[in-house]
Amino acid sequence: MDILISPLVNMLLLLYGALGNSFVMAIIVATIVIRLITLPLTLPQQRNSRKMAELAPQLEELKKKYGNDRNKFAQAQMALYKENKVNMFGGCLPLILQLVIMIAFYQALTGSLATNPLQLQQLSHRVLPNLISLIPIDPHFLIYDLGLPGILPSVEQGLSPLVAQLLVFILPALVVVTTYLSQKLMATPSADPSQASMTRQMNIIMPMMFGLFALQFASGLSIYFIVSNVVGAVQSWFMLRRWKQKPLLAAETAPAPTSKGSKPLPAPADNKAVVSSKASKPLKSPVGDGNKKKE
Amino acid sequence: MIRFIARRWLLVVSLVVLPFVLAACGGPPPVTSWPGYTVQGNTAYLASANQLVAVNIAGDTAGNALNGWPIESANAAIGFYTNPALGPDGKIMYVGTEQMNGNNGQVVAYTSIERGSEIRPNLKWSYPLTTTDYIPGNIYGAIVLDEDVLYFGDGKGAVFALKAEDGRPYWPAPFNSKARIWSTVVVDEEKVYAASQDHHLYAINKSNGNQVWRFPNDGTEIDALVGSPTLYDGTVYVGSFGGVLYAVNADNGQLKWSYKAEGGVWDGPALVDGTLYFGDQGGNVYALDAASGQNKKWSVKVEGGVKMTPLVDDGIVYVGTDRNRLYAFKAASGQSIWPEAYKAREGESLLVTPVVTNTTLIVLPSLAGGNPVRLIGLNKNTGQEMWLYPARQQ
Repeated sequence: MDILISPLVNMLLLLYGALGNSFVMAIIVATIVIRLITLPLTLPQQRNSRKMAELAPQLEELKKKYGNDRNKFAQAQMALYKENKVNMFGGCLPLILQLVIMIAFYQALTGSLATNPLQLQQLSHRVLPNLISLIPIDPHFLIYDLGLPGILPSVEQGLSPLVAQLLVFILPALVVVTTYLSQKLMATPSADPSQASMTRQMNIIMPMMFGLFALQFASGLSIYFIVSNVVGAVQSWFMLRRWKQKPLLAAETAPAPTSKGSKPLPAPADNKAVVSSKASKPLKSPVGDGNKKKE
Repeated sequence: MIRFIARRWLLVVSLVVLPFVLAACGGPPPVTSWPGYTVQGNTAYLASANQLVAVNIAGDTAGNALNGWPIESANAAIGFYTNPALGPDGKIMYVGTEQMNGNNGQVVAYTSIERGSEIRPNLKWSYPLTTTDYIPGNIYGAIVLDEDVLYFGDGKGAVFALKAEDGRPYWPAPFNSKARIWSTVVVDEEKVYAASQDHHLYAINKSNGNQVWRFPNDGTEIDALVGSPTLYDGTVYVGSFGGVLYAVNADNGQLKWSYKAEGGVWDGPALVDGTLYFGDQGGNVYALDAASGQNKKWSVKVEGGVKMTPLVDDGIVYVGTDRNRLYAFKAASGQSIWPEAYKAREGESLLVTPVVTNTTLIVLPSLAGGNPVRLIGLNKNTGQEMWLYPARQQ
């Protein structure tokens, strides 16, 4: 984790100095930079999800074909995904890596603010000598201390408890709303009712979870969530617009222009599922028909 | 179907729990407190996490807590981070607090702390006294008692003066700098000197809280001042996070000299017989001529960064590091006097200046990974452990 935290701390400090000693701007720019750096991780994940969505009609047909024979259905599904270069677990690794980056960013954020002497002691071992003059970082942004949850005690003191509580909920509420919108845009429609139901539940649960994080952790993390969600939503919107115009599977199965020298994709073998986003014909069984008689 | 949903839920729960697990598992166990202590007679008063403990440091029962101790803060989220101050009669203790995940400091005064007292230590007063009183930041520097007034800085850059008797403010209003003051202030007959992380050293009128001077005051930029200054014979010595030790005239705030160390300088130097002894975060210990700051007498390399003001006793310089090492050097030459440096537990840091008695060097490591506070009695001639608080489990 230290391999990630130290560069992030120095990036935050560098941006803080370059952006007029504004830590909130440093967090915003750093978040955008992180999103750009992790694009090679998130984009394949989104492409994978999109392909799965485009294959949903074929999958539905396979389900009808194999009925309750889960093993055969699973084999057919695997073959269909393999044929279309869909990685069933492709979404997990990028997600875990993103979580690791998020945790490292949170530790870098609180570490660079160093809200107590021990954190400053640890920070002193991470900071590049040229950036030491920027310490201490001013953690204030409007009514927030970016290194602490809630609002500034000095602001809270002059307010009624109700108003103070309402102000405390502003950033978590923004986290919930942006997480919901971002997930909604990223979510791929599923033909499977149980999966669709699960997606709907996730679309509610995850924003609430992140809202709880925002309430409990430093408000700087809320800024990270909000910016990250907005950037993710914008990215999803552009990708969806592109994929609606040109579905991924159609693009991949279409013959490539010869001028670029690419080879066309190999035709599916007879014993493999026929793969096309536009396929409406009954699919051939990816396993031998002889097995069917055993049912 | 049920298994499918269960698997998906398992994934959701795993993703939610994973950040916490990774956050907890990232790196070595964190040091969770920077405790402080004060020694009076045969008793060491420790302030650590949310406990205050009085420990016997002499005789056969050295390392045992006195009866009636420890006492705990009223709220588990309120911790003690620094040396307690004791009243002149040794019957009252003043200590500042930090509020975890918060910013409101408190000063608490306990009575009946003396050895052999029949009455358990109890709270005399705590500041803020009323809802209109307010310490905006946590208190990380020690409380300084001078002529019945308590002086201290807070994590938002204020310096307070409270009457020791009842905790009421002594100044019309606190003095305010522009950034946090984590260091212990120093006091002379007229002024209070406070090192602020707004990159300035302040001299404050002791009787009314007004600024007397500020260093630097000519537009020169210096790095943040994190540690406590040292006052000696009309000169204030203060180190900067950027690694410069400044000697400032206590009368007018003019710079006398500065010395560039290799690493950041946290707490100020010890001064004995015209020589300054201090360490830096780059793992160096220096002996400098106090008058000029230029004639380095010696310097030695140690393992880990130095945060504390070294202890100089009987011609020996004792200095600890944040990598659990304690060294003993001859003040005249910098030559090590122990066969090897004393090594505390892995993960512990030695951040607090040791205290020496006739034969014993008393060391207070900072906490590692939430372990309970320890106090260690070392043979000052050999660096061997003599006793421990709490006693080692058999």
